[in-house]
Amino acid sequence: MSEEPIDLSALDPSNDQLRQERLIRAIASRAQPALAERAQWHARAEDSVARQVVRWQRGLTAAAMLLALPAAGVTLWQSSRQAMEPLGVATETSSQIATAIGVPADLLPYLTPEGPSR
Amino acid sequence: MPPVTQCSDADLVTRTRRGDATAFDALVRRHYRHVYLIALSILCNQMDGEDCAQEVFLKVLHVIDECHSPDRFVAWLSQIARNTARNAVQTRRVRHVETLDVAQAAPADTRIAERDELRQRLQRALATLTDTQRSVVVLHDLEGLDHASIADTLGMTAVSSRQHLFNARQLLRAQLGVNAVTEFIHE
Repeated sequence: MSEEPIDLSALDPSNDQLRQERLIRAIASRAQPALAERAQWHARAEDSVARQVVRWQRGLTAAAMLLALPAAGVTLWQSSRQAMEPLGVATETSSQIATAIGVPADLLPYLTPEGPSR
Repeated sequence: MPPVTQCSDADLVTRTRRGDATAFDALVRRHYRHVYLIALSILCNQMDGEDCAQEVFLKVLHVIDECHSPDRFVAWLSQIARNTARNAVQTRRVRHVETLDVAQAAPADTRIAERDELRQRLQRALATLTDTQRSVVVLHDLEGLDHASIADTLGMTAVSSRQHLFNARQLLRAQLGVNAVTEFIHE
């Protein structure tokens, strides 16, 4: 018998919708000042972050440029050096090949495209 | 931004923290019944339950930054509701149902008058139970929570919740008489 629920629906606050609505509105009304204070505080906080970004924007841009210029120079220098490296590799390879096939060292200058220097 | 009715509790908590009145209103509407029933189960009085529910939501707004797991907002809210109601009991701000309610309500509709009378009888019967029995029976038979949820809300085991419910129902039936409640329902 005690497995059957007791009907307590008379205690349900939603029986009186008007009363419940009035109570909910009363809560909202009493909460209004605290909510407004929170909204203001967050607006101020967000505003100050935005202001900080604007304030530092010029300085940050200048600092970024100062860093970017040397970095660009280094990059250009490195890329021009890399472009020259394949020639060096080719020269070294041809002399190695000559030695490997038993060409005498005296004849090596004659194997380069320019010929022996006079 | 999605409409508040589609937002999760966690989203509404986040928006309330930023002072969004619509989000707070949605939280109140979504959980008012739950908070009121917890308060009622402890205070045993409609008006005290309503006052307590108001106090709970205002307190929640005040300490909402301390809700560390917004996805478990209901558990946090229930804890505040229970503590607030218990404090109200301790300070004995509880009013007598019989005098105040009857004087204030004076409903013209007979059916409403009957429901008010039944409500008062139920409140008187509930008042004879222990706090735990009352909480369990209200949360189970009125709020519709299962034993696992009640156990989680009240900090007990599900088996214990079952036992309290069994005892509470027996006591309530003895107080009200078996036909007392059903007569009203089947009218």
